[in-house]
Amino acid sequence: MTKNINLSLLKKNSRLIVLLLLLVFFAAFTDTFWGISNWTNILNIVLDQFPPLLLIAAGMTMVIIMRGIDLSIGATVAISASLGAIVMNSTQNVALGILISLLVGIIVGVCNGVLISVVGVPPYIATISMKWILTGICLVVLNGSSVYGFPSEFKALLQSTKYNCFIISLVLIFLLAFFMEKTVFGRNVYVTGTNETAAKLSGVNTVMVTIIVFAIVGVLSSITGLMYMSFLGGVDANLGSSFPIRAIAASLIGGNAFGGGKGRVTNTIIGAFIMLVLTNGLLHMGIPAVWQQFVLGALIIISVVAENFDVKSFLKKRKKAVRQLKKEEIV
Amino acid sequence: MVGHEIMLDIKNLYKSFPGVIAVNDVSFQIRKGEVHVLIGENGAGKSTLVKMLAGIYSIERGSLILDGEPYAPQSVIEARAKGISIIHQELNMMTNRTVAQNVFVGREPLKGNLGLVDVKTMNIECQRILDSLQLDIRSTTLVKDLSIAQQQMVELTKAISMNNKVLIMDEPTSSLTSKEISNLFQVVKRLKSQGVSIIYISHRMEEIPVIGDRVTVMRDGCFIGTRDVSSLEMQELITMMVGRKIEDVYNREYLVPGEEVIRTEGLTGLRFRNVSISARKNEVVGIAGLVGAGRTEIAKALFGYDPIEKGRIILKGKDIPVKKHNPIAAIRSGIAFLPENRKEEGLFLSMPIRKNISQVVLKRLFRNGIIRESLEKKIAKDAISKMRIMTTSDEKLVNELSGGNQQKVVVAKWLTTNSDLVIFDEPTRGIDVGAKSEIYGLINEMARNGKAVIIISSDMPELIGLADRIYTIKDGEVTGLLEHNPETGFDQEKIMSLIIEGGNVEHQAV
Amino acid sequence: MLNIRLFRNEIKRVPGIAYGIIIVMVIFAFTARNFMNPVNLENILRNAAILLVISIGGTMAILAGKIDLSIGGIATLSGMIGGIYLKSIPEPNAFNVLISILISIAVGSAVGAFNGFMIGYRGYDNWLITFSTMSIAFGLAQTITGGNIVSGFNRTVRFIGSGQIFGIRVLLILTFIVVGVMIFVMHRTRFGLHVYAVGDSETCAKVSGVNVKKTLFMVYLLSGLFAGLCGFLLLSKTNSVGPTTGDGYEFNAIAAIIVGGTTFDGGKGGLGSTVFGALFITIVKNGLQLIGLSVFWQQACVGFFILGIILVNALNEKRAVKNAKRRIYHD
Repeated sequence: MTKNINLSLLKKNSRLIVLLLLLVFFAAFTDTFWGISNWTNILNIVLDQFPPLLLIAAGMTMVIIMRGIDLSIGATVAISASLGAIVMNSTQNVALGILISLLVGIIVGVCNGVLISVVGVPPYIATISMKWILTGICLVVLNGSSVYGFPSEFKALLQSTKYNCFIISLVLIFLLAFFMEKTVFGRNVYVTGTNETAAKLSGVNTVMVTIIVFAIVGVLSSITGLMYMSFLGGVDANLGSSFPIRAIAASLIGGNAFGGGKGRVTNTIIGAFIMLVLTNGLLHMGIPAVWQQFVLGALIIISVVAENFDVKSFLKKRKKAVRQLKKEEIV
Repeated sequence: MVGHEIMLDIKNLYKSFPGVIAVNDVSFQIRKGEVHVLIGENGAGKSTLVKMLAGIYSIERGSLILDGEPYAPQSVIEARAKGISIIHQELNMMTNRTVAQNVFVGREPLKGNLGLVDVKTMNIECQRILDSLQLDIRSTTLVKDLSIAQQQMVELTKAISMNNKVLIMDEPTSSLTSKEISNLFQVVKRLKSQGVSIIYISHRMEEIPVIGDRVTVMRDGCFIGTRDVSSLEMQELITMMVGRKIEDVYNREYLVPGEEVIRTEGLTGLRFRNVSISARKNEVVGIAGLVGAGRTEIAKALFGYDPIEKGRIILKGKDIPVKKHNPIAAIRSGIAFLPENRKEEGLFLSMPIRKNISQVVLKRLFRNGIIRESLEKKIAKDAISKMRIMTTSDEKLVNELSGGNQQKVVVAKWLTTNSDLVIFDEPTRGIDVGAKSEIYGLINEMARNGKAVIIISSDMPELIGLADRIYTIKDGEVTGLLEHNPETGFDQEKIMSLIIEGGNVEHQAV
Repeated sequence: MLNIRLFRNEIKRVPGIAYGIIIVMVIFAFTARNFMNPVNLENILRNAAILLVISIGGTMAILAGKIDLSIGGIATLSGMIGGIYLKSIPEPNAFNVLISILISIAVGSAVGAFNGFMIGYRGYDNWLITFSTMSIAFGLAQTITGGNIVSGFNRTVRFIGSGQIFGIRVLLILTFIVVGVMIFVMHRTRFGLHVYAVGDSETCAKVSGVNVKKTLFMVYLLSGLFAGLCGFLLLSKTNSVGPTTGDGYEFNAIAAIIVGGTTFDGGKGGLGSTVFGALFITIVKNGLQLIGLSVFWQQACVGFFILGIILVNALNEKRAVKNAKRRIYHD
């Protein structure tokens, strides 16, 4: 009995344990991971890299719960940021720029949602195609170059204090988590991901659910784009090319299972943390940035296997034991 | 010729599922070259029994001796290799492949040193079998271009083409015309002469004397008796099958029906034509028909899930726009639908009971969109106790429940909506007797509370026991309407003939 | 020889695509300079050949009801490793080239085997696994050269990709043979028929004795194998391989496959139609390039095609199902 309790406790906090182990590991094996002067590096990770990753990973988690995927998430960031930037620079109206950016995100999300739920295009295909189309549009819009130099009010908005983006992202994610777990709509998302036919027969408008979820992802992408505009001071069409895999990795590492109907938005917080600690730690260990794509792919596979691991082997052992018992009985 | 040599000796077979004993210590023998009919009500255990013989289900207790050797198949493939195949009622074909490929899938004939598939021989051999069955089918036709009846014959061809000692047929004639049935019987006779034993499951009493040599009756998972067809009395069979008076189980309180809740006029869709039915308050309407007759499609169309091409639906006096009809509108107007496949269509298996029960009424309960768990838990608890769902908590996942309890969850889910019209599609399929009678009680209660209830069921005694009126459906059309007679109930044979042979729509009070 | 009825069903789409090809060629003949130039036309054939080789695996995967997103990554990685081997030899001869081909094929098969194991035997989601493997493959390709290109090979190496025998390009001959063999395999071996069976109805196949797990494993193994071969062909034809050489190939392969008429539900279509699909996509890309559109816009157009085809398929399906049901019913 107690062994079961211990195991489940272990499993519940497994990710926290992994995070702590990683932090200890990198502290021990590198000089610079923790920062020369008290935590500067960690702070950098938490304040600059974490917020945008959290936003797109949270959006991806929503889509995964709905049994879908969104590979256009990076391109959406780029196009919404690009258009927003252009408007902002030409009209010097920060509010308008932000508005346009959000609008673009919503439109892209709605397109994805319609393609998937109305036309019936498989989610991977729909979003990969959208990715290429959006990147193409982005290049045209930017004329192949980049936009930079935004009005100072814009920078002030997002970076008046160093903590702005961090707080914004946490607030958004908790809002999202509340939305998913405590509202009727959130329940509908889970239900659509669990069994779409049963959901339809229970009166859920699965088409609207899909479209709205993708629209939300679109908005999250726009906000991420705005954050990057503020951090980098400029936008180019390459922004976001690695986002899809980073979002998927962060979501899965955090403990979300891939099959649909399972997972929690809040898992993404620790998933994003672990991922950032890992990728940064490796950099500080001297492993060059080019390894990141490989590491992310490997991480996804490891997460998926780890997620499956205990349940399957446990059942297998049980089955074997039962079969043994049966054999003895019949004879 | 039918000797008395035993081909398959079934000894003390036992199989249980969570909450129900499906096969309970059954023993009998199948002789070589005989057609052994296996009959019993729905849920009597026939299907489970033969699935154990065919290697689909594992044998929990008991043993089998096939042609003198111990037989304990671990898989369908092993069963086939040992000489037992089964033809299911539900088709399982590869629609984009040819007939020959379907028949020979997994064991395609090879030729030459490289081990290439001999497509020519495959086609010719398949054609040979098809011709010998006098089927007008070419082995190179794609399965999707065949009718359902023809596809069923292809399944038959597939099973026959293997070297069988025992061939199990589960309701083979349910979708066949009389010409096709007599073809089938010719084939069966030929197989008999080759020494093949046939286990023939059917609900059709009239076929037994034509094709059967002996009959075994099962009831509630138990073996009741085996009789020779030649010395058989139909009445004796029915008594063995039923073993109790039908009225006892259903406890139906027949009330004077109230006003009309729903009426359709000339409803036409993909699988049904010109359907005009109605249901009134306090009334239970039964819909009888063979598998594939279109009953579920009609029900789904009423619910707005399947498309409607023509016709009218009048719900509580108002016309529903049929072209725009959908489940959300149906639910809002007061229609509830409990689907046939509760696992695939009616439940969220990996979610807790509480969430399953509340799903349909979420929007209604929580107007501002925020779920209050306390209210949800209360509703679930009420439903669990009212329906007597056997569970320790409302947080238990639905896939951990037995079939009967799962169905109760589905009923609970729809009860919370307080709909005016409740449509049940096969409400007691795969459920134990205890849960069945509880569900019948609920249906009674619904009718008493002023609801209109429509029940689609392949379980004739169930329909007859519960319904005020029964519509019979054949090939998507309404062929008859019968009313419950206070003295005699319903004429089962009349119903049978209407769903098999058809007829004109007459208002028949029997 | 071949199962005529099946083959006829498979190439039912071909007249449609053939018209499409002709129309598109006519358009480009008038709008793009040098389109009808014999050198360009030959280039089209050669590019189509390479796309076709990599699409062999993709076709099999889709026929089996799955997908292989990693083929682009596998081609890149295999080509790179083979290329590095060749670069380590000052003057590679025919034997070295053969070794290089074998290395590429081995690398591809290894990755394919991993895919096949995870998907066929372990039952993990094929979209996620091949997506991750794709990242891992591209990631590794990045790291083994630190982001640099491998190039500058001698004539022996370039013979297969760019050489001629009796005036016909070796590449075309090779592709012709390989595709021919594979079409034969798909129609005349148990394996090929089983691939179709699994795609059409996995349950029916399993119950009928088809070893579904082994079939899926082999599908992915072969997919990786041909992707590996394609890696070498790219090296041989373009005289260089870089970390981004195969980028987007899986996307183009999917386009070629579904334009050709193979559908995602599995069991329908085949290599024969992919041949025409590959031709069509290559012509479109070539034409767009000659008009002056950037690579991204070419990909965007491919994206539009994919979405368009799926839309058309969906509409056709609806109509076909209606007719079939009516026929079966009122029989």
